[in-house]
Amino acid sequence: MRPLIALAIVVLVFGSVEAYMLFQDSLPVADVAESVVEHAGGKFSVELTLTFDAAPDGFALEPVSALVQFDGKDLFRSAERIAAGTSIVIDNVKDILAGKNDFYVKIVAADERFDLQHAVRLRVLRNGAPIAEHTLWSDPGEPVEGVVRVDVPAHVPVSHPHEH
Amino acid sequence: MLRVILFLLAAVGFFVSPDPVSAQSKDNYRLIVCSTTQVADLARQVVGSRWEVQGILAPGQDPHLYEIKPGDARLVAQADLCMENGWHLEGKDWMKTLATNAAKPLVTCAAGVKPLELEQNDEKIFDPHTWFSPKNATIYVRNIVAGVSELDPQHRAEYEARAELYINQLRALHVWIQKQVSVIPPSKRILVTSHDAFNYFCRAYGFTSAAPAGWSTGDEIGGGVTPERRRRAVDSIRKFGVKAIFVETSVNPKLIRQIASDAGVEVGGQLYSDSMGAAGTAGDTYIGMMRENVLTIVEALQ
Repeated sequence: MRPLIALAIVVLVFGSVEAYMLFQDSLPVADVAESVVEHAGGKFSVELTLTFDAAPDGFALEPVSALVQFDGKDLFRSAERIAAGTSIVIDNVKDILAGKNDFYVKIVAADERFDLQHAVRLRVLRNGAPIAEHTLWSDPGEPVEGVVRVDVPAHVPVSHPHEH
Repeated sequence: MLRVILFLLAAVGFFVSPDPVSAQSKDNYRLIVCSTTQVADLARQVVGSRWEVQGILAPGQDPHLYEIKPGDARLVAQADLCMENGWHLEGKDWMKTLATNAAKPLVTCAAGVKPLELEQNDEKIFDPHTWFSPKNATIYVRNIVAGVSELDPQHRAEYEARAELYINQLRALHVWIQKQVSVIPPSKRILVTSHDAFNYFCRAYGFTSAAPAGWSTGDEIGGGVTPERRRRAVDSIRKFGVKAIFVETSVNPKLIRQIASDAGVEVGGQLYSDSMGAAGTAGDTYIGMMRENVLTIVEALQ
């Protein structure tokens, strides 16, 4: 008797699973909603200001002194020395999205003393007006390196003359 | 009868089916033969298990004095690629000779390093001990990536990915060394070793080097022990109040022990110089070698 009950349970379990799988296969494939990507309006530029001298990175496969990337593409790349106080201005940055945008930044200090930290200021401007500003700090002795996330509104805010 | 048939079938299956290891290795087997232990370690960091890496020198062997053996030529004959330190570290360019005789491509790892020049009898020589700066070791890694990628461009991205990780480790090593040696006052940073192998380390970390033997333990120009060098080493020890001097794992310690006795200082420890340590020891990798050297130096001189 017990073997028969065990067999019945096995048939029931596997049969249920098989029935469920057949039911799933018979369902129509759902349409995947297309992701909506909205580009932010306006002309964008990115500005970096160095507080230290930058020099080509001795610890890299490709020795850059400064690198700025957006969406996997280079916005700025240099293997030259850059003096402290220099502002790197990148005009006409394309494909800025409404919402979150990530900029990868790497700047290598010429002075690589182990106890020194360095900072870089990054600003994003739309139509010449700053819309975001971040300061990126390095670990002691390391390059300034990291991702700066900037939240960009979809549209340029409209100013009403009567509000003044 | 059935057992006989089954046995025969099994035997046929055993001999006919391809050995999965040798079938794979015949198609994919690649061999790099390196001169020094350091070059071999750096090569392994880049190629992973995609290539086999073998070194000619064993741990503790002196590249300046090494003489080629018949087995070396046989090994190089099987290589797809050879690698050397270069700049005559390999005495009389024995690695170049092996590679040229076997018509194998050769990567010179020191190529592109900013050299320290030594002058002797109006002849300029590049100090070949370039790996003692982690920044120069990064250049070695770049050269290795270029060398293997040229022969195996399909896996270039993989080699570069490993290299990037390892270079990050070299950067961390550099920062760590700076921090470790900062406890030694600049006036006490005098490094006296068996031969003049540590100039790049000294330049990177603010030491002064003094050695009774020149850049080579052999008889090349600028190499070997001279009375003047020995006297200068002893004078440096006394003048700067050096606390300790160091023997090297790949050089006979007799001379440095005599100098220690003459100058009245202790031998502070053993440094890995032209060779890493044996497998299983703390200095059996490039990073391990540098780490242990720095710990030995700092403990002895601070």
